[in-house]
Amino acid sequence: MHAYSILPALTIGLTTSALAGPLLTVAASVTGFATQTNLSNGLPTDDPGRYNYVGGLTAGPSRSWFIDWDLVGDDTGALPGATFITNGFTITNAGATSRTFDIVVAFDSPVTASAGANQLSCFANLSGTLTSDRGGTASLTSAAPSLWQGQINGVTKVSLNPVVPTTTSTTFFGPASNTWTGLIPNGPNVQTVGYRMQFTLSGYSTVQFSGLWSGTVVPAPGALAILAAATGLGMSGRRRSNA
Amino acid sequence: MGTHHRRAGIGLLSLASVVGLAGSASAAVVSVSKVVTNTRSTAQTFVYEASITASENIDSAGIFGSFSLVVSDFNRNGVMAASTVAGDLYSGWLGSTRVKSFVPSTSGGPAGSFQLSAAANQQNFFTAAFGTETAPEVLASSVKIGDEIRVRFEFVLSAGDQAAVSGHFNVVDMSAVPGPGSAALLGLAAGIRGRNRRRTEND
Repeated sequence: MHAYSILPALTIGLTTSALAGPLLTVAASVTGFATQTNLSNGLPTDDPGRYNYVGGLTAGPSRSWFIDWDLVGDDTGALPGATFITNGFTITNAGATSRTFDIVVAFDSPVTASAGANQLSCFANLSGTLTSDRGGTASLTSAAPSLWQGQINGVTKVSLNPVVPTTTSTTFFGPASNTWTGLIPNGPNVQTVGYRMQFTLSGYSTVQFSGLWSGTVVPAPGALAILAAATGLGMSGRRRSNA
Repeated sequence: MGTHHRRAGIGLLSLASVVGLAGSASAAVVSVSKVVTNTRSTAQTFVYEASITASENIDSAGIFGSFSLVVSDFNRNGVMAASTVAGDLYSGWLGSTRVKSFVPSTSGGPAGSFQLSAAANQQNFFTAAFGTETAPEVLASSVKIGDEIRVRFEFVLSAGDQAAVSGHFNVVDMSAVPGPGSAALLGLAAGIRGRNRRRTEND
């Protein structure tokens, strides 16, 4: 399960390779532990432009918590002007007491906004499972400001707070569709798409997150109007020439 | 989503614990929690197992467990997770004997099979359980020290999509589980004690 011990070597080997994907940064703060950061370049998938990132962080010798991930990032190769990073985290609190986790994910996916196309249309969803590893009761509570925050260039644009029942084993499901459209924060281009998760997990429990955070560049309304006007003038000029 | 699939490999997980508490109904818990992304262009079969070695004898075993699954579409063509062979979605083992084949009922698939799907860019989830700690399923089986207690999940996942799967397999000692009559007597005794306490506090 925790196969990340061999990943640093793979990552180093791929960083300078043409097969290497964009940089993914995962930073995690856990109650009572110093912040840890993992940098990796993904492996190509069968879908061109999409890369798979598998890795993990742990408490070290105490093995009192584990953070593992299996993510896919899209570098805009498949659909120009569009990018995404998935959520595929498994977080285990192997200790007896509750712990608070703060996990920040940043995927380097430079989306270039052409002249007048400085808006981004974003989509998010989030689901997961919560399991007590010893058959007791597991609980997951969001920490302020919300359990999941979708970020563009490090600025939060969508927040999700799914209701998670307290039980032995359950699934939770955020709203099916969460969208945001607006000016690219810290633009004009998109340097990173990412998300932040802040929550408290009961002892001897495991939570899994599954979901998507995507962004597509769209022309600003003003640019659309100018484009329409230009098209109109062009057609009018053509009709006049034909006359 | 193609119908062709192949075995992607077996993941042996370590999230298992022997509770082994004296006087407790729970003797052993084996759990699996795994997120997997199918990065291939065809559907793949995924198998995950977790196991422990029994640390105590159980003459009369009872079992209960759970299964949860979340599926997410990432490539804008829908997602589907399904059982491969009917009965193999969730199986619980004591030694070399499969004692539980849990096939949660879902709509849309053939009888005895499991299927969970979602439309483009969407997610879907499913959770189900069998037995409980106080009312486990009773087996005509025993567990000896050294026997392997194992849970196994097997499913096929459509190309480019993700599944988050988790669940338990609990084995209990039926001699430590209070019977319905005992539970009723315990409840009655607790009620009488509570009433007497309230009466004393009010006096």
